[in-house]
Amino acid sequence: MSAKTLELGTFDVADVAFGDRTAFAGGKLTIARDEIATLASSDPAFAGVEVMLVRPHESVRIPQITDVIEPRAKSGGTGGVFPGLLSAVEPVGSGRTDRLRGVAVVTSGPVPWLGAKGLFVPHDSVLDMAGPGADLQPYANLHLVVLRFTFKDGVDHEGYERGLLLAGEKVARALALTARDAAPSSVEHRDLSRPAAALPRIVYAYQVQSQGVFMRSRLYGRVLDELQPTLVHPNELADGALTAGGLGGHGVKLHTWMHQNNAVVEHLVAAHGKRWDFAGIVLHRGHFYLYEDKQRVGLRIAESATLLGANGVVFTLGGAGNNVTEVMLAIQECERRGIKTVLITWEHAGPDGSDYPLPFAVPEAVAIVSTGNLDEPLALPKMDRVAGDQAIRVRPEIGGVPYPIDTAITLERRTFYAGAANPIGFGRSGSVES
Amino acid sequence: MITALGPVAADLGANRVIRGVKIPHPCGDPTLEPAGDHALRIGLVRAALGALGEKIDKATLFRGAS
Repeated sequence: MSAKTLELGTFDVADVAFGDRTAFAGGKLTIARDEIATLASSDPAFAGVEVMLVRPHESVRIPQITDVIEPRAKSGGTGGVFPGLLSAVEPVGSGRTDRLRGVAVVTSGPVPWLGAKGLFVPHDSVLDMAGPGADLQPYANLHLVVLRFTFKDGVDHEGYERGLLLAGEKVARALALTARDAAPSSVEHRDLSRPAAALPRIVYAYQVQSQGVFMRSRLYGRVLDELQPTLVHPNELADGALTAGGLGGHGVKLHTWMHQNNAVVEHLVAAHGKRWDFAGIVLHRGHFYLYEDKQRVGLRIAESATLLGANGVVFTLGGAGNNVTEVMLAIQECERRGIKTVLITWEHAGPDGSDYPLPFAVPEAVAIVSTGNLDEPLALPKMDRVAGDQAIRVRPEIGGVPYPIDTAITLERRTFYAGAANPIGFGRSGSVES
Repeated sequence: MITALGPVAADLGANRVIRGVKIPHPCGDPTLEPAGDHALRIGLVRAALGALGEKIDKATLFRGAS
């Protein structure tokens, strides 16, 4: 049996501009605005789309973000990017994948609320490309192609979600296809073949959030709301087998870009065969509504890690709240079996950082890395430009109140800031014991 | 305390913890007919009142909804 091997070709994008035809040459990506707008807005959910370009570290605030996607396309091997959505359900993660580095597609716009309440409201968010907010997420260094949609009446939330998801992926693939005849900046070979030397065998337990419309993740196009822990190869993530699709929990949300470029996976792959033996990913979901369901998830993760021969498991969180319970129970079961664990997590530590930081913990969780405090207020200066509406909608429980963002703003919590305390360690935030 | 996450409540210092239904609806079950839901809620409240009368020396989980 041959190991799954992926050649990941990287094409560095130094500049992005509008032009007559969509093309990539000499590190410059040219975008035919009308062509991309037509491709993006073909879904019946949309009334229209505005295509905007934002430069790295430009003084711009982007509101109402649904997803961020890195342009990628297959140029060899089976299947296509975003299998089960844009492409057929075929194996991905081997052959050749081309990606444009330095540019990302952002889907955005005011998704109608349709009277939704509670969790399942398409919440608004902001993201700054300059100032202190730029340090909190991984996108400020990138050129962003912002697709700002307007929406047709008579479509339900399932329809809006699906339209947004596919539109972002279609544009991302179309942009990556422009690199087909160019010379890559680098080509990396990725596989998990077993190293000759005995190295610690490491599993990544990757939690995603999937809780219904606008709070979902998908694997090969399948909604993960009832996911039981399952094995995934890191090369499958590289080809977009795992996608985001939500508008909730922006501070801790994992965009598709983060699945494609997950910092934990990248580090585990980069030093595979040198510092450790990366055994693979156990993908799982938290937020189950019964304690017994949480125990089952913990058990299945520990059993999978045992079967993979793990010496250690790295855990990260998908979303915030009671999903910590599944992870803590998995940590407890792994440690009882002699498998060492480490958790990378945000903190719910109150405005001044002094509260008990996690809703649930077990004594076996002795190695924890903080990615920052979700509850710390965030003061953001005025940006020169807002790439969208000049106000976002807050307080859905009373039908929505406009919150102006064309000025300096202070967010009481980081919930509305995209990527503010993302749980896989992107951005320059963290905390230390004091 | 009536909660679907009994061990979490006990861990955080609740003395008497009654097992509730699910996280989004600890004190009832919207999938039941109104009569069944009513009976379930009465049972939970009775279990909670019963637990108040029990002598305990540490955080204790009581059976409520099953």
